[in-house]
Amino acid sequence: MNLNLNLISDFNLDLLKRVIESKDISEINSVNTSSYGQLYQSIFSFEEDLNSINFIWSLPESHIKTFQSALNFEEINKTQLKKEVEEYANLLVNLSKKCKFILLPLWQRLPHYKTYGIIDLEIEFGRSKLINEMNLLLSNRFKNVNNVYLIDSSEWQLNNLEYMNPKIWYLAKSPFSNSIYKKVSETIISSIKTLNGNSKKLLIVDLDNTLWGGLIGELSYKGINIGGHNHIGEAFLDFQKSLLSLHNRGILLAIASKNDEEIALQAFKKNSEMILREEHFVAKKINWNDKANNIIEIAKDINIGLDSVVFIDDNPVEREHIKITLPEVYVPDWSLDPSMYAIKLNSLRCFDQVSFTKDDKNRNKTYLENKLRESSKEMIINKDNWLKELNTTVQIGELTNDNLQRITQLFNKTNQFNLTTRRLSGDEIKKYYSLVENKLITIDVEDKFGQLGLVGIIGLSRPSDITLNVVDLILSCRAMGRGIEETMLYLIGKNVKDACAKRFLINYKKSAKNNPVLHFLKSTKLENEKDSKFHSNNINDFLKPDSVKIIYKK
Amino acid sequence: MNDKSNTKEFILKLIYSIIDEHNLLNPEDLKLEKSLKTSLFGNESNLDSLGLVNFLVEVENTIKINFDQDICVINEELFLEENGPYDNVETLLDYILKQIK
Repeated sequence: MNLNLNLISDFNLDLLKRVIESKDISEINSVNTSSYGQLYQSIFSFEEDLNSINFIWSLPESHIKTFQSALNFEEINKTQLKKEVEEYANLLVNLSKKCKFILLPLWQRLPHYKTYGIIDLEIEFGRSKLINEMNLLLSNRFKNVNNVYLIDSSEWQLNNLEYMNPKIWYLAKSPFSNSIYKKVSETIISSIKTLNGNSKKLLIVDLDNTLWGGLIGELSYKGINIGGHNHIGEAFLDFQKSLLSLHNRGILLAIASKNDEEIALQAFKKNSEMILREEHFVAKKINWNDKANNIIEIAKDINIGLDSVVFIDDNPVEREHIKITLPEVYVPDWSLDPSMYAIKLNSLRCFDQVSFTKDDKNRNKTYLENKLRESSKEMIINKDNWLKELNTTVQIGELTNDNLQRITQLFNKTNQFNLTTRRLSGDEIKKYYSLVENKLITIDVEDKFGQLGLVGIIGLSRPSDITLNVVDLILSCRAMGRGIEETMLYLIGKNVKDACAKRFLINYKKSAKNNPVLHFLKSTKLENEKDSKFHSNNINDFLKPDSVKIIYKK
Repeated sequence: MNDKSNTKEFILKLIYSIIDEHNLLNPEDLKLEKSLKTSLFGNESNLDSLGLVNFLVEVENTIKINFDQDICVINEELFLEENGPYDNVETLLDYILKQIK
C-alpha cells in the first residue's frame, strides 16, 4: 500500500523530507512537511486521509508553555504542566482518527536546555525529570490507542551537542545536523515497512566464522573459538546470545553452511560453550551445495517468501552471490570484526514488529511442530490419511478486545493467503466489523502436535438479502494445505444458510504475493469470472473436510 | 607542486566529499555534479536557499575538522555579490583558500 507521509513539526523538517525522498521508498507515495511554527495549525487543519502516516516531532518548549517557563527557571505548577501535555495528547488522539498511523518520537533533553546538573534527575523541577514525566503521560495516554506508535528517540542521540546545528537553526529553523536526519529517516522508513507488513521473519546464518571462530572441518568441535577466555570467543558467544533473543521474540532461525553436516552438528551437540542448540533452528542446510539453492529450499520448506528472509555470512563473496542471485533476500553488509557482530545484529530494524503476541513467542515451536507434521506426511504418503492422522480441531470465534491485536497482525503481516491484502489498523477493523451488516469469524487451529493459535479470518458483509460478500479471507501460511481452506469455505456456506441468504460472492484482488488464494479458489467448485470474482451456485457444494473437527467458542 | 596548490587540491577533495554526502541525502533534482563549474547559487543551481545554507555549514564543519580552524563561509552580504564565492565550486574554493591561515 502506498502511503502519504506527513512530517508535522514546529521546526523546519525540509531537510528530513529530502533525505527520505532520496531513498525512493516504494511504500511512500508522497512526503509533505508542515510550515515552521505551525504544529497546532497543521494538526487542527488536517483533512482525513486514511492512507497517511503522520510523523509528529516537536520541541516541547515551543508549545508546552509551562515547560518553557521551567526552562527559564521560573516557578511552575506541575498540575498545569500535566494539563498542557494531556491537551496536546488529546489533540493527537483526535488526529489518530483521521489518519492511518501516527509516529510520535518521545521528547529528549536537548543540549541547549540549561539544567540543574548532577541533581537534574532528582529534584522536583529538573529538566530531565520533567521530560521523563511528560513522556510517561504521553505513554499512558496512548496505551489504548492502537494506531499511535511512540518512537524511542534516544537512539538518535539528540542530547549530543555535536548533532545540534545552531547555525542552520538561526538561518533556517532546522535545529539538527544531517546525521540526525539520516538516523530519523531510517527510523521512519523501517517503521513504515513494519507497519506495512514487511518485517523479516527468518534469519539464515552461516556457521564458520559467523556463529563461531575458525573452520570446524579443520579444527573439530573442540577447536572452534566460542566463549572461553579470549575476546574473539566472547564476541561470538555474544552474537549467539543476540540470535537467541531474536529466536525468543519469534524470529525463525536457520542455517545455510558449506560443511560436512555430521562434523558441523557436533558443535551443537558436544561443545558446552555453545549457547545455540539444534532445536533453535527450524531448518538446516549443511552441505556443499550452492547457498542460494539452500536458501530457496529453506524458504520453501517452511513456506515463507524470500522477501521475508535475512542472510548473514562473514564471507563477502557469499553475500554478494546471494545479493545478486536472490535480490529479494536482505543481505546486510557484515563486519570483518567479530566483536561488532552482536551490535550489528541488534541494530538491524528489519525484524521490528508492530505487536508481540503469544503466537509470536511460540512461532519457532510451531514451525518445528510443522516439520514433524510434514515428516509424518512423508511416512503416510496418502494426503487424506495424513490429514486424518493430524486430528485437526478448528475453533470458531469472533472479534474481541482480547484477540484484536492478533487479528490486526494477521491483516497486516499475511501476504500469501490473503484475499485482498487490505491493511487495516486495529481501530479500522473494529469500526468495520462493528457494523451490523458485517461479521468477522476467527479460526483457531489445534492438532495432535500442538496449538497453531489464531491463524485464520473470514470477513463477511451482507449487501443484500440473498448474497453474502466475502470481504476478507486470511490464513497464516503455517496453516495452509491441511484442510483449513476448505473448512473456511464450508463455514462461509454455513453462514449463508444461517442468514437465510442464497449465495456468496468472493472478490479476489491480486497482489504480488497472494497467488495461493487464487490457486485455491480455482481448485474448488466456485464459479470463476476472470480470476477475480468467484461465486457459489450451490452452497451445499462446500462440505466440511472429514479430517477437521469444528467447535464453537462459547 | 607547492604547498598552496597542495592545499587547494585537498580543499577541492573535501568539497567533493561534501557533494557526495549531499547527493546521498537529496532526491535526484537536488543533486550536484562534482565539477569546478557547478553552480551553487542562483537560477542555474540545483540548490535552493535551505540546500545552500546546509551545504555551506557542512563546508565550515569539514574545514574545522581538517584544518582545526574556524572559518566563516556563510555571510549574508556575500549573497548579494555578483561573482561572489557562492557562484560555483571554483569561486567557493578560492574563497576558502583565502580564509585558511
